[in-house]
Amino acid sequence: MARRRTGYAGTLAGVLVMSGVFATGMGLAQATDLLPDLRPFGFAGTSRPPAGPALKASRPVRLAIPAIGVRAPINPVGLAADGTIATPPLGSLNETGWYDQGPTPGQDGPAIILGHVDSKTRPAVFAKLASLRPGQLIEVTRRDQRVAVFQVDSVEQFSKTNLPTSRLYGDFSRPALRLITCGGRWVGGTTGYADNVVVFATLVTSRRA
Amino acid sequence: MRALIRTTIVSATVAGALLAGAVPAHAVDVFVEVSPQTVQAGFSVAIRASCGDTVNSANVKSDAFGEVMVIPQNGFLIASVGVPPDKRAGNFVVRLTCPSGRTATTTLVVLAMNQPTRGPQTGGGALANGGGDSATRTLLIGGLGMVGIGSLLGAFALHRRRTANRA
Repeated sequence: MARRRTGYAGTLAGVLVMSGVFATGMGLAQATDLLPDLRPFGFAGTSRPPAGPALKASRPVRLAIPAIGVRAPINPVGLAADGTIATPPLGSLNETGWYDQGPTPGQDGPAIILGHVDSKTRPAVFAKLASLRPGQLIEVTRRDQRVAVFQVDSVEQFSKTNLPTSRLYGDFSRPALRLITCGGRWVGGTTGYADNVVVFATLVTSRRA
Repeated sequence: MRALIRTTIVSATVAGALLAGAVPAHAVDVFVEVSPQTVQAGFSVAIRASCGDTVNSANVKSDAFGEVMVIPQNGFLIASVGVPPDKRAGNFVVRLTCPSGRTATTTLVVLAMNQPTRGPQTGGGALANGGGDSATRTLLIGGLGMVGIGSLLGAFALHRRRTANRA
């Protein structure tokens, strides 16, 4: 009888130790970022549609991305004190910022719009940006009552400390759009998330609002 | 015979359409255009122009890049010109002056945007690791806890077995 009880206890002990080692391993891997990031990124070099005709300059006012349910106001942003592109106030969860030193959406060149992925407590306007796929549409309504329609070329992720500047800012051969938010590992401090998620898109057409 | 006439008419129509299509829409106009129409200071732009005839060079002038000759090529007057890197942002008139004295203008938008290599701060942390910060902690603490309890239990079981065998 005593012998049997120790048998159960021994089995339980074995199972506990083995599960514990497994769980600890998983936890360590996540904490140190050794597990491969399973989110599907990296659609570089996929579909690039022929660009639609460029529009005259006009400030963007509204952003719509039907595929991920985004409908948000756009306000101009400049540079922050640390030299990065400024962002909307962290409390304005559903607001996006257009970088006003760059072209307006629809002009030749890369128009840049940023939005928060989350606040300290809740998901924000670009929480699902990383799930956009090539071919999906992004609509920017401008002050001139024209809607510039962009098509996603690729969704990519870069280290915040080393952005590919020529790809982000350097292509003036066509009217294009860059949507930027945060992603990757949370490191906190002045960095926040370690990476930026960037959606590259090209103007395909425009229509009256 | 009727079929022949119809064929002829159709052919003539098609030929006419093709001819109309082949002639550049601007061919008889005096015009100037730049590509891209918006450019970062330090980049270059292509100029395409026409003075109605395509034999003579012409002059294109702008505060954005100075003065440049546009030269006949493939039915247009063309040139490529760089905007100086220190050019201020603004809208610049680009003026074509033909040998005949006729002129045309367009606008070149020059940008002087800063291009930060450091990415913007676009998150507060609520979604960090998809809520995984707490999951990671649970895995680590739970896992170590299980190892600890399991070891104790194992030691206890071994001890019990040894005592039972001795008895």
